[in-house]
Amino acid sequence: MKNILSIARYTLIENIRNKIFYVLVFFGVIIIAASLLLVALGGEQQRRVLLDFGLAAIEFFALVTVCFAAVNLALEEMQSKTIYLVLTRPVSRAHYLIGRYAGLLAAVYSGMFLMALLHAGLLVFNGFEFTLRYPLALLLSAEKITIIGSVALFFSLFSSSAISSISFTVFFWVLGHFSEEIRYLGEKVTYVLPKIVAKIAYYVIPNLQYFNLRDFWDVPGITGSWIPAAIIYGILYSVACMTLSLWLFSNKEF
Amino acid sequence: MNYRLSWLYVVFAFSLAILFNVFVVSKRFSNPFPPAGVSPITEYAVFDLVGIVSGTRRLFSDIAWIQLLQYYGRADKPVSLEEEIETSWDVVHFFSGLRLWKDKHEDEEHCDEHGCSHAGHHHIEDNKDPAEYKRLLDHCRRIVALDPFFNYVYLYGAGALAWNLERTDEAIELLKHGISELDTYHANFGNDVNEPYWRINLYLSAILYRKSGEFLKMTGVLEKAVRLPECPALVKSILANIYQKDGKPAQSLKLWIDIYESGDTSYHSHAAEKIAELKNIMGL
Repeated sequence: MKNILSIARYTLIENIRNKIFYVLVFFGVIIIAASLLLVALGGEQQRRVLLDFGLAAIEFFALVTVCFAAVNLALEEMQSKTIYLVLTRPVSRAHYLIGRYAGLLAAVYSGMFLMALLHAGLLVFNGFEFTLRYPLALLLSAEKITIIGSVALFFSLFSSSAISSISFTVFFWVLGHFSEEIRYLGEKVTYVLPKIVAKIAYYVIPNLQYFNLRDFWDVPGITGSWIPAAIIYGILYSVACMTLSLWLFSNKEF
Repeated sequence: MNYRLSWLYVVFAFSLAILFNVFVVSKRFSNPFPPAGVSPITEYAVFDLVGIVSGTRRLFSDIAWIQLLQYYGRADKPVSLEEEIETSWDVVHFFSGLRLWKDKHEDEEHCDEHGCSHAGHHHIEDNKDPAEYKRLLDHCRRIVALDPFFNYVYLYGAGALAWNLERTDEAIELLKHGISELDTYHANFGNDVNEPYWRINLYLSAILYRKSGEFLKMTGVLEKAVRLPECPALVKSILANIYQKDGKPAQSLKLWIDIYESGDTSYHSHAAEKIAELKNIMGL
């Protein structure tokens, strides 16, 4: 546990000192602030535009950050051979990978927190009435980021190419949001094989719509009864992807 | 320290996540949005699809909303003086038989000279062609295709179509679309949709009264509508103009003050002008 925490702390500091991380968070902050300009065009729906634009921007910049950082998490050290320095010490590969992933998530969450603070400030300034839904929407966005981070890490170990890893991860992101359409397709198609494929894809691909509370904001009578189960599912899916990454990493020859 | 992880752990971890999804989460969750369809405005079809596949339907419906405001004129476009007179013209005609635009339209022959047309007792100016903004309904449908629960669009779109553009049939079509979306949602999920359902029906009845020429009843329904949250300033301004033409400046003033204080800057200057005008009329 001590090893994991040490590596996580090192990764957190490494990411926070990284210029790309700074640029992304800074860019996110600028975009959220600039949303005030867009809000002015929103007529009588200014608060709605500000809310949606901010929540989407927070998620988008967190996604970009986690994609780039997770893909390079172990890949960079493997390519520069600096990973030997860590693994020759009494640090297991599992501890190394879990620590790196935990540190990365801590860095991305802190970036999200900063952006959310600014966004919440702007909303207060615009007279928005906060409910529990706002932090819950952010929490579920963070859950999406957790899943996508683990998927990106797996692809980086699997493909050994940053560009293809990022492409696969973005593809997974899109598929995850398209899962309800995949299910609909499966229900409508008459042929058995495509039906089965659609059904399998629907259950195997992480369903990111479970975590899309910011899109269901005005849906009448929505209770969020699925949210606790979705949170557990998100953790289970991330753990499964991490197990797959660990299996790949433990079998990797350096 | 480096032992090889068995692939059985991987199978176990994925099985657990997938089984939890199949038997627990997917049973509790139903996507309230209907499956993605083709955008009513084809040039935005790809753009809207990006919003759907990236899980940002609301954000893209907001962008579509801004595009609607840009299409329909400026976002801060208040009802012009001519439009104000026209929107309240029917009521004035109904109550007192007054004829507006007397200087220009002494008779129908004179109207023919400068290209005006008469549809029933409705007077339509040539510079306010009902065919103007002919894609307004499509823009509204595009927004609600992305987010069917963006109820304000139904109210705003129907108000603009019925009172500003005199296309009551399209306004009714839009409101009926909203009602059918809520009906489908209620049938599938059983959730309470009374509030938006009632609000849309209220607007529908106001437009139906307008269409059938029952302006007294229409005014009564609009009075209820402006008391509800999410009532567009556009609808409030229509009622305020009706009050003014009906010789009720105090009620009109109250509504304009309400519009002015609503926090929406788009009607500020126009509302301020109207407040000053009405105060002047009332000798305040």
